[in-house]
Amino acid sequence: MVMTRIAVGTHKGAYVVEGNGNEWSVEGPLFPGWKATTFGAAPDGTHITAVGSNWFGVGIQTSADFHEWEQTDSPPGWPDGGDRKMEQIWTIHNDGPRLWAGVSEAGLFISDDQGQTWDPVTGLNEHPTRPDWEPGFGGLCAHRILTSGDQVWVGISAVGVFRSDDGGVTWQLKNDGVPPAGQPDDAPRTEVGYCVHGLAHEPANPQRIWRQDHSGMFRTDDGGDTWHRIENGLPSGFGFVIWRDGASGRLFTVPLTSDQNRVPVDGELRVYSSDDGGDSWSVAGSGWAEAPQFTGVLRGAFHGDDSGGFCFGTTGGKLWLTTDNGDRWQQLDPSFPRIEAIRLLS
Amino acid sequence: MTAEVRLPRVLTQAVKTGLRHEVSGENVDQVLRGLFQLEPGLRNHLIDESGHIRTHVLVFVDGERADLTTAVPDGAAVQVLQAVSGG
Repeated sequence: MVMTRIAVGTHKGAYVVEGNGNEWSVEGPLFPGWKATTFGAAPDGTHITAVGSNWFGVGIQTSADFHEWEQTDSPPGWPDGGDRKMEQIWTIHNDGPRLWAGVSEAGLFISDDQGQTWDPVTGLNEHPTRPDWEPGFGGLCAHRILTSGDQVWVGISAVGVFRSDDGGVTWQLKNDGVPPAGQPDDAPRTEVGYCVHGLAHEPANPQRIWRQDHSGMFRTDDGGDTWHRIENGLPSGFGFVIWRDGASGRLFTVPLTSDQNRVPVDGELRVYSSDDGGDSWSVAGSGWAEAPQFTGVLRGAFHGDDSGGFCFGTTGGKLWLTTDNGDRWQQLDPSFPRIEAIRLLS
Repeated sequence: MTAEVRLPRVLTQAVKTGLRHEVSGENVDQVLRGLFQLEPGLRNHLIDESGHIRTHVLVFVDGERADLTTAVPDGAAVQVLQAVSGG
């Protein structure tokens, strides 16, 4: 039997779930008393878990084996004496030689030493539009990062998508075709106020990007210059997850009813997939619960290993897994606190 | 002046050398600065961006609520606690 190992980041610590499809063991909680907000890996392969506490702020934990952990001394942080608070580390992106961290209050930080120290990305953090940035329901957070050479995309809620063409020195807003959060498609354009929820792109064609937005599902084929709605077959355009499998190109999302009602439509928790780049969507495979599942799936709680394995966790603390590229899904027995981050380790 | 700093168990994962430290200093600010020399990663957890003790972190000197200016007698116990809050 193939063994599967899953890192689960929750509101109350992290856990490692390991099993063969029938029996599952649980290690944890790691970091008891702390939220595990996102997972990552440094260029040298070191595992990274970002943690946070309502009392003690944020931290970066590193490990060679996902078992023994050590906190770094200098996580991303805003300067002393300023108005900004470091509330949460939302994402850690590895572009090869460099790590990027997206945080709230919204900002980007980079590390060139495996995550030990972090420097602010000033061109974005001090962007001329910053005085107009406003938080969404989840706060003012930079939560998604894509990179390709000198091009960098970052999603900030509820501001929008920014693109840099010079490695992060200068940034431009890229939201044409997407309505401002909560507004109809023909609403007047605003410079900021776009609530991007998730981003994924095709590494071989990085100008093609998929965007799960507060306002629906969108795609661009020109690096974000123009966005087009792609919701054919989806029961709702709202949700947080957009994932592209690197091996098959298959897209995955988990639709939720609406911004006011962040649970699956009629309680039917389903992953939807697309094999035509998002032109059409349908329920991914089988195995879904017949009983209603009124639970959500957050943007960081879906992960794939690019070899047919995908796992997601719900705000109700349950794990769902497929090992055959999304054809057959299984809900695992263990239950957890609210799941914020997932990483398939093997 | 030397004090014993006692840290809450939840900070176990944040320290390299334990939850109790002998640190010199005449007030809480100096004691904490000494602590951060030993455990650099703790500064971010105890002090916020304004330079003050975090809102939901409490410091006691020999059982009395303290701030950064509170004097620390020789042999005092400097206890760091997390406020009873959260969910």
